[in-house]
Amino acid sequence: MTGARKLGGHSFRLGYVAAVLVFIYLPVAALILFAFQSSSVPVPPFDGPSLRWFEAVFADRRMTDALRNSLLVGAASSAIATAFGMLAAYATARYGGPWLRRLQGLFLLPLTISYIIVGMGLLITLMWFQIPKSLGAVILGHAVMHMPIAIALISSQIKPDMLTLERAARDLGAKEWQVIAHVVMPSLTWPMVAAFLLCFTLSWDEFIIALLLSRFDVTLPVEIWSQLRSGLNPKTNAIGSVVFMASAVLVIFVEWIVLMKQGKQEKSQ
Amino acid sequence: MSRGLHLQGIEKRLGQQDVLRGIDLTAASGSYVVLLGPSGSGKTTLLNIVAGFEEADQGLVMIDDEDVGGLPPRLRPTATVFQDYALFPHMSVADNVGFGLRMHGLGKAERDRQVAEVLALVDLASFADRRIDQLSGGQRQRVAVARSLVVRPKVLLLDEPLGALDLSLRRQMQRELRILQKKSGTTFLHVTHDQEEAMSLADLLVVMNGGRIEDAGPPDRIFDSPASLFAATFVGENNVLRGRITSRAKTGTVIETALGPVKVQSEAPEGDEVYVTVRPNRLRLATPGSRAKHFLRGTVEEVTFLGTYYGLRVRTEVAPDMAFHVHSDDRTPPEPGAEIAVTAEPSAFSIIAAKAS
Repeated sequence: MTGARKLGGHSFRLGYVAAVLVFIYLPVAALILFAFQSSSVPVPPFDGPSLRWFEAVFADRRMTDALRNSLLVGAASSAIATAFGMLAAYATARYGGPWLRRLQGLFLLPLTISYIIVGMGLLITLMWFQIPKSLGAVILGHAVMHMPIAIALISSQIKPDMLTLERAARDLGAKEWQVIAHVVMPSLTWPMVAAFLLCFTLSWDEFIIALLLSRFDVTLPVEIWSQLRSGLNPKTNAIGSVVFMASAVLVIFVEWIVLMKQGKQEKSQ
Repeated sequence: MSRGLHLQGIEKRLGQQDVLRGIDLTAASGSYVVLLGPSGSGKTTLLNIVAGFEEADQGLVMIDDEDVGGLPPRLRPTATVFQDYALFPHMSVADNVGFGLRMHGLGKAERDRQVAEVLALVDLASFADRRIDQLSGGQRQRVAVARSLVVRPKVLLLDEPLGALDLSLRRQMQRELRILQKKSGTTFLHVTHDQEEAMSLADLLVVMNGGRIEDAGPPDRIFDSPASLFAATFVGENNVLRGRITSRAKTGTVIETALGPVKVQSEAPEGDEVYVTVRPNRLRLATPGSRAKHFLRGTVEEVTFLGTYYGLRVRTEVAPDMAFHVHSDDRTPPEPGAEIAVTAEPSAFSIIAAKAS
């Protein structure tokens, strides 16, 4: 009886997992499929495959500019978030008195605030200081939003045995900045790479802050949104597929780094 | 000879606990100093205070007659070999060894020359380009020593440097450390809880317990006539008897103990209450029927084979709450349960004043 129940439970679980996966990925699959549509309406029946919409995307100046802007915003904001995140994580781990530990709570607070609140706050602040809306403002906004993630990710990788390495470096004559440059950063290379890629992925498809803080130079999600307003078009499917594939590749890369590091640790133990 | 290391009145508290109390220690330049004590005795804290990783609440730390108190580790003329070696995993052997020189701003050519020199000294010349995870435990240990020696510290600090190695490798590394120390002429300050390691390495052995120095001196002196009860029992196996001095004379002192009067050759300390100690290897089994004066008479409880000798545990009728340890190199030792008599020369005993301890 237990066997039968186990079997029933097993097939139920399989079915459940399949249903969840279909629910999540069917829209994505549909999006990608109709990016290869041959006719000009992305609805069934599928009459492709054709690459004409991908050609159209890369022939569209506004799309390629938006793509370039997105790459710029992603790279710059992630670099800022990772650099400051690393310093904040290290400072709280090493000089963490009770005050700094409370401060770390403050560091992580933006995680709980929605993008629209931060976006509006930044918009008001920019207007206050009469700074025009720009890509720079978007970069700042994304850096602020994503730094907590970088802090959390890097903090979790600061291991106690790093402390002895830092001591050894100081003992051999290293100044504080040399300790950070020669010992701390090399020890945290992979967590920093992972944090950078994760921040990049989040920045890559962030919409609200990018919409509120940009004017003429827009990022890809904003451009897609403005093109969608003029109706469905396989071109938007094509650009959506590009965005999705880029995110997916980055996420898989991050996962691979994490797994690789874990495997290495297990091997050395 | 100059004072390589001089500590005076070192005090350290952590919360409610005294970690170090009134530490005074002077070691000649170029000597091998070993701090020996159980865990919690404060020996590692003392090492950290010399290195500058911790500050003493009070007291003076002087290296080559210069006060280094308050200086950060990087400005102290010390270098440390850490217990887990703390080698930089992302650097090659040569880069690890050259790290200190690089931090001191030496050019690459000069750095390479000195690194090659010190790697040859520790017998790792062909390992310069290896990664750290390609080295064995003993090789890592040598890289750690090389990395610290290359910056020419006045005092090299070693924190349980052999703790992670297996026994035979540990004995080999002890010899190598001793040779390196003589070659480099550097003062070594070595922390360990292994008393055999301590005795074989030290010029100056410092026995620590509960944040105090119990005894400091050449290892043979500490072994033969320890200054405190703790030193007598922590450094090697020992038999200890409490007693009272009943007569003092040039020819010797007589002490009344639970086993009866014991005649002792060594000079008696102040006060009447004393401890008498005698090493198990200085006790002899009396030949059956001998009329010589016995130190003790008792029953063998346990016989343990220890290679070059047998260890006997003996219990007496007059002091049944004490077990005595006797070494016998006789290949046919008494069986457990046998009644035996044990003798000792008056010179085998040493006396410790029974004050605080």
